[in-house]
Amino acid sequence: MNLENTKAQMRKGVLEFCILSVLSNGDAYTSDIINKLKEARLIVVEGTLYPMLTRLKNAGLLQYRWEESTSGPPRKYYGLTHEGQQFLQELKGSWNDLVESVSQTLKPQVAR
Amino acid sequence: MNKTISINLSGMLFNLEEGAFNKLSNYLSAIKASFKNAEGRDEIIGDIESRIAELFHEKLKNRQVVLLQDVEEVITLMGQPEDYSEETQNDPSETQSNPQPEQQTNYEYAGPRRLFRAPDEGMIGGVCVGLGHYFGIDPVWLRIAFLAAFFIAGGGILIYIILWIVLPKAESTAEKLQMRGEPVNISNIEKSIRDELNRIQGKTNEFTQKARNSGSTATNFLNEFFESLLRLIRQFVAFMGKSLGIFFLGLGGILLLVWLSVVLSGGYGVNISTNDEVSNFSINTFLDAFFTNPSHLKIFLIGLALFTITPILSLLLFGLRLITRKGLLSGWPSTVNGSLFTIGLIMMVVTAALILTEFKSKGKLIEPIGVIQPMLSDTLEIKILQDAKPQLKNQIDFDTWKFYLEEEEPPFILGEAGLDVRKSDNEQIRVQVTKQARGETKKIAILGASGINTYIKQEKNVLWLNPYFTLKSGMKWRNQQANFTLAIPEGKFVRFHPGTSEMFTDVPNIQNFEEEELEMEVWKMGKDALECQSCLTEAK
Repeated sequence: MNLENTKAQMRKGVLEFCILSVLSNGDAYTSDIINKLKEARLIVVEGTLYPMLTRLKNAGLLQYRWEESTSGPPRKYYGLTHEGQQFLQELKGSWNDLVESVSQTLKPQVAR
Repeated sequence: MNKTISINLSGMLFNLEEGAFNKLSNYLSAIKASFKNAEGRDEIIGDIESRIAELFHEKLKNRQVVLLQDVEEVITLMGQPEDYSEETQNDPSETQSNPQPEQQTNYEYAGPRRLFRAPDEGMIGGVCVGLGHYFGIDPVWLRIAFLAAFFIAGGGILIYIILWIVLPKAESTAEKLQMRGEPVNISNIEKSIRDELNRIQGKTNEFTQKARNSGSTATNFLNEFFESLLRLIRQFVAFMGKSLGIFFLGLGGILLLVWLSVVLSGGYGVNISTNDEVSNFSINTFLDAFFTNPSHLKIFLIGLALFTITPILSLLLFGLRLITRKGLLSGWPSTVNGSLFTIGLIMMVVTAALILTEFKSKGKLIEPIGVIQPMLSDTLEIKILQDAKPQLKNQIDFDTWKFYLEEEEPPFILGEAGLDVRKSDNEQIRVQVTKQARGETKKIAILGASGINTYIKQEKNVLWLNPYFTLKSGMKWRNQQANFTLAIPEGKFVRFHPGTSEMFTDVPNIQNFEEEELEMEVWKMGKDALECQSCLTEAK
């Protein structure tokens, strides 16, 4: 069992959830999403995000529109689709369940 | 001044420095390669490019050209290709749909193993680990060997420190792979980075457990201590090297000035020191006394110039190398310099050898000089022409031969004439001059001997001798020698005036007086040799 692989899998699942929840507060530009995730120390480098956004978009959870920028090329603003919002709701539910069950499994270890 | 390359990134124009362009171009192709089979690859690349464009745009507030540093900063922000691929390759659905991404990126060339040191894997400087990777040995054995060498001979620590200084640190992932002899490709880089992450994880765990494991802190301390010591040594060596370099440059510069002044003055200002005397004349005049052929002289002089300038240039080059610490100066300039030195040497040796052949044969010429016979009762007075004395500082004295160079226009050569006194085989006083010279053939040597000018003058019973002979103008020094022979009949008296004894080569006398003691005494030619008539004492 590769520890790093497990961690990556774990982080990836959470990351997708986090991207969706960041966007639930309103449409955002990629670098806004990055900054929020960086603040939360979920990602380190920006490169990680691009393939994910594309994948979520291809899965129909995200949509984007182009907006002209005063500094640089036109920007992609991402937002949740209807499907994405439903997806997020379901994830939130399962996340709470998950946190609860995980903390339960951790309890004996914490007590030790 | 640097070349710039214009690129179009997401519809925006940027001017990139060449180095920056190469870096960015490599970066983007590495990313493309890692997304080779990912779905929506073009879109991802497009997004990344447009983000990079935006970052460049932010950076170029007051500038127009994107520098290498900018690209490096952007790459740090965006992450290495491995960061991208990690996410995609760990997706099970994607790895299933694209079963052969590894094969595609596996452009294998098993690079040669390179010797590095791996400070982050090692105990002290990572030398043993590096050597271990290189030779495929467990570093533990090398550590034991070094330790043993230290305790047995004490040399282990020195070898270790030298290797520490000399071996490059394996810093980039590619270097680490080369160290292990693994081919540098995406999957190996990824593997290596993952290993490293694990190790860092391990190290931090160790760190948290440092209370339990004081050994690791000791290692850390030792590591830091040695690193700083090493840095100090390196700085000191660099400083010494630079100081030495400046010293060599200064010395070379002074020598170069001296050399130039000597060459420009035609070789003046050089004192040729022979035996005890320091003579003072130009190299040109000195050499001119030997060289018959002026072009040979020129060749010799050019050779001498090359022979003397090249060591000075070497000194300058060496000094420069120490200061700049650049290897390029050890390349062609040194080769050219060395060749010039050799050429100069050959030019000198060949022309000097040609001169030596002109010393091969010996020629002898005996010239009788007519003498008016004085009255038998009179004492023959031998006197020296004092005004003929040359400037003694222009003497050249090489043990067997001695001559004087008068630096007039044209310069002429003087030699010392000798004087023998012996019994005449008849009733007459006779004087003869033996002239000798060397030459390529006997004939030439005799011709050279005939160019010797001696001077002898008679005034009644006084015989004036010039203790020096001159050479006919234009004649070269071929070890010319002139010797007066004075033959005195038995029973005839002779007196030697001051200075004459310096000319004596062979004056036998029965009392065995020293040559200087012969002066100012009256001598009578006996049966075989001179007998002192006025001496009060016997020979000491």
